[in-house]
Amino acid sequence: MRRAIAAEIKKARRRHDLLLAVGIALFVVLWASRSAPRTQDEMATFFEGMFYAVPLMNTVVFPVGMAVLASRIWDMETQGNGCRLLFTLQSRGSLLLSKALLCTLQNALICAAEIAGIFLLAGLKGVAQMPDMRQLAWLALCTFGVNEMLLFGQLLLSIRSGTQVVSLAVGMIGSLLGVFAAFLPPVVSYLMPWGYYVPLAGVGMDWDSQTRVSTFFERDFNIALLLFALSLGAAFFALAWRCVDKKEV
Amino acid sequence: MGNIIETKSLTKRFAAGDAVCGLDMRVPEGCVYGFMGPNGAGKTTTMKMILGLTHPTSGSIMLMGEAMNEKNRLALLRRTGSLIESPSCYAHLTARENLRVLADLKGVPYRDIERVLKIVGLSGERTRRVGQYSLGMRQRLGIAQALLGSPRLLVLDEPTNGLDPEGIAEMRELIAGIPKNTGATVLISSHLLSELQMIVDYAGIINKGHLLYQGTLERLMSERGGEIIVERRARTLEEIFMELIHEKQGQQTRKEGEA
Repeated sequence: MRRAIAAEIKKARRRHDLLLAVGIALFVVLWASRSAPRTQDEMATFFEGMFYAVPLMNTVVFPVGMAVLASRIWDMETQGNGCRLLFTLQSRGSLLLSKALLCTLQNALICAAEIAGIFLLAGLKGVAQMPDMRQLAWLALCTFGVNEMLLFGQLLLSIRSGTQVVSLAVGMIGSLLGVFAAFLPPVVSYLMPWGYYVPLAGVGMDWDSQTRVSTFFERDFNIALLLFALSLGAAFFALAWRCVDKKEV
Repeated sequence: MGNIIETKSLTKRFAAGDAVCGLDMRVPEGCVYGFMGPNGAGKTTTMKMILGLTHPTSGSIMLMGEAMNEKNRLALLRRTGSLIESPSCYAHLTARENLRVLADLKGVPYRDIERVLKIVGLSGERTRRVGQYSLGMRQRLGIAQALLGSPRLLVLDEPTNGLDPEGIAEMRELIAGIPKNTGATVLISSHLLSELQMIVDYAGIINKGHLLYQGTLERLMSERGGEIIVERRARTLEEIFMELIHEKQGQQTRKEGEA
């Protein structure tokens, strides 16, 4: 397995995948900052605002972002006829596992960059108070969990279809469906795994159209949904494993 | 001299029909074995089954004296170099970086990379990205990948694809010299029968999944009226091959007609 990971790291050279991962995360934070509090009075709820806005932006950006990252990592084997040679040198499982580990590393980097971006933005805006660490940890955990599920789903699609186009198309459609479902009752949003970021968010918002004032409130952490998302990710990985194992090249 | 590859009743069945039917193939160690057949005869499928890329429907494969199974497959194949149809390489990496990926997986020291690059004549191009390589250069890189780690067996499917006449001649010399220089056995398939004729010791002719002939090239040529060293014009391997294929096809058509 150590050899497989070393080989995978060597293959990733010059592909700038890690840079791409950080770029995707920072894009989300910058976009979310557009809806973040701006006036001095609103600064008191800066972090609550971000905890509400970031999951929404995650729903728009990450389904496509995960499709790009996962499909790129498998597409290099498709483009380069890699499997024909690799299947004679390493177990099929070790190839998939090393790719899944690299995807997980990219995902961890995305989550870390997103959290770091929120703190950076708070510093730039002169926010004095510290965020609720429970909410921060929950945001990071849910983002990681849903991303992981999407990455494995997209990896499965890439292996089965043998082309990046299918993964990217599914990512884009998923993003639209996720955003659409975010504004519908929770039961509907549960049917759209691409949009799980929103029903998992630990902060909700009430907007008074009369006073035009937004009020943030804490929501119960939806642990059951997070566990379901992780289980779905595990199921996608198991299917991808089976698919690679049966693959004839 | 033992057999480095031995298959018993090797069969591969697809939905469209049988690609390989009960193949009993024997490749003696230390030779160049030419595997010949028309398009769709079952050459590539057989080679893929030997390399574990395609699962046989039935039959068995002995490699280097051991019955190949899921447990020992990788250990046996790490002592094998292969090039199937087109080379497996990453366009964003240089030749040296591509070979480093394989060296890691094979557990081969990096110093072997320079050796194989020199053999295939890519030393001067080792720091160029493979995406900028011509088809012929990629093919050479494929051979270098196969040679990495001094394998005991080389499985080469159409290794001269995309090479110019000069490249083909160089490749011919390279492949012909492998058993003598490294002790490795070469199983090679090619459409260029005149090229194969110059380098193979053993020949296997396959058509529609059935092995029509297997044995030394010398025997094939003498049995069928060809001559290896000629003073007058002898029949070429190509002529004998066509005759054999059409003869068997004729027999099969007659059998089908009778049935």
